[in-house]
Amino acid sequence: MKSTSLVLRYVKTVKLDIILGDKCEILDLTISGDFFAYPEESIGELESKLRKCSSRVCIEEAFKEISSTIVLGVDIEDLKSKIISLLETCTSS
Amino acid sequence: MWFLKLRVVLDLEGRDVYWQMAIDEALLTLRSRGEIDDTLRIYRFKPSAVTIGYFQKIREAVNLEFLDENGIQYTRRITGGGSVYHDTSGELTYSIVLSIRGVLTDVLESYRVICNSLVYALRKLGVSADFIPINDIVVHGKKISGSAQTRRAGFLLQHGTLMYATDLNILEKALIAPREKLESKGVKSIRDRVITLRDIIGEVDVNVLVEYLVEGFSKTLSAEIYYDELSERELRVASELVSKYKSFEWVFKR
Repeated sequence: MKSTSLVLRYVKTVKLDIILGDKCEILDLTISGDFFAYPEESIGELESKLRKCSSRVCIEEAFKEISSTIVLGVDIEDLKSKIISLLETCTSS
Repeated sequence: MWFLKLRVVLDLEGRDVYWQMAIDEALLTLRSRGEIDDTLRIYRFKPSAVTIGYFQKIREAVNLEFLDENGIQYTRRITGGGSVYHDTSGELTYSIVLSIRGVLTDVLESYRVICNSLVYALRKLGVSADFIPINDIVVHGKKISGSAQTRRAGFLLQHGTLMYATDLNILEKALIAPREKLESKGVKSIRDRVITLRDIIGEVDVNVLVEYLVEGFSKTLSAEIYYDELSERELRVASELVSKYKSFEWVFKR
């Protein structure tokens, strides 16, 4: 099990806390910070979906499901890339 | 721009943070059910309190030990954004519930329109304030006001601060800002990033400030103002929400 925290500075600040399991599956993930999302609940839904992911495709699908959400202050594409990168770094190590 | 009737409710005596957040949510609920008019509220937190944004982790956004030691109440908002220290003797809060139409449809633009009401008031006081997207109003590059908005079924609630004499020593001890955020703003501490009206123009007559704020909202929204009190219905709906804002489950959800 590996726990990682990243602080990402966009217009707003995002903290990504992620726990990867022994098979590099996402066991837990939290996206916190002073940003805005409309509707707010979609961030919780995204976190829930990501918690089941162990592949790039799964992460991309999870983000696709909130594509209609308006997120202010966060570069969502970059955030997605960071999560994919953490997962792929784990699987290649 | 359209023309609307804007109800104004003043609560300068103040209530605690749980009630103020509950009333804001109650007004959004009742407005979205069509039971009340578009409403602007200007109020204080009594006693002084801290609110954090919907997505923040409480332990990373505020100094809980300091708040508990000093009896400063705190809760989580239903709106995003950052942590705020609400000084009873130095900060006014506004909240507004509006039907989403016209220029308010675009979220970013709605922040600009609503925040410009505060910019109007500040400029009328002779202060060169500017709106900085997404949600800040700054003077001399320092933040004097921050706002946060949520939306529900065609209606919005936006609330925000206006620091006229906030005790910045307490603010600095109460709130935690990530190092990365301070660095990006080119400051070393939260205190370096904020400013109050007292720092700029000296003591301010709060009644004049309120008058200018109401005028600002009236002008910006092309609204006809009428003053009112909270109804029994509004207070009853709010009273049902107070326990949520006091609950560990809500406050520590992140």
